[in-house]
Amino acid sequence: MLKNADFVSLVADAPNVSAGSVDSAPVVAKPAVKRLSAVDPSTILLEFHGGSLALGWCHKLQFN
Amino acid sequence: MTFTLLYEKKDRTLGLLGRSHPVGSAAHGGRFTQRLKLLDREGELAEDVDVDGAILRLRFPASSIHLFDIMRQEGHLGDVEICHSFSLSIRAELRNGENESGLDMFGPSRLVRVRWDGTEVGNGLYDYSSRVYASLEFDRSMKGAF
Repeated sequence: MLKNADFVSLVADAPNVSAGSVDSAPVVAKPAVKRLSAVDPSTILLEFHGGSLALGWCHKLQFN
Repeated sequence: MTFTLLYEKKDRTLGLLGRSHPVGSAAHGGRFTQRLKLLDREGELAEDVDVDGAILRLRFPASSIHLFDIMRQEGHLGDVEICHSFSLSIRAELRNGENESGLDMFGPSRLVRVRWDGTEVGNGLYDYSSRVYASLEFDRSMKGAF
């Protein structure tokens, strides 16, 4: 079941060359909350805490 | 604001293809946003619908009456119509039968689109210190898998 599985992470992919300043240590973040949309059961909602994004980096979701 | 998506039939009259539907937005404190829901018209789509000429009709509340003055001042209004270009992304979804439970015998669910939400500070740029949300949108119900 996806609800309890560690199936997705938010990872820093590459620095944004136009950004003024860039964090040196990109983080891998797990979603703090995973839930099925009540109005649309074909949508899974992921919530990441503030600070999950690394400043100046492009991010992507990585699926396990 | 609400909206409807219309298409031109062969007899030149307009048919309804979809209408807006309020959806709660976690990123905006539970406020509702309007998303387009297409009607279930699979049969007619093949025969009759020319989506190239689809029309998005917006309906504004009376409280926004001054919006048109502002748009005219800023050059968004022509003589008779509003000109505004936007990106349209459509996700087709099967919701009947085994698709409703996510137990489709013809293979795994397919991730169609990821929609990002959060405190946007630019086009596709989010405040790194704030919460960010990702909506994984699949081609069928994920009730069973979740």
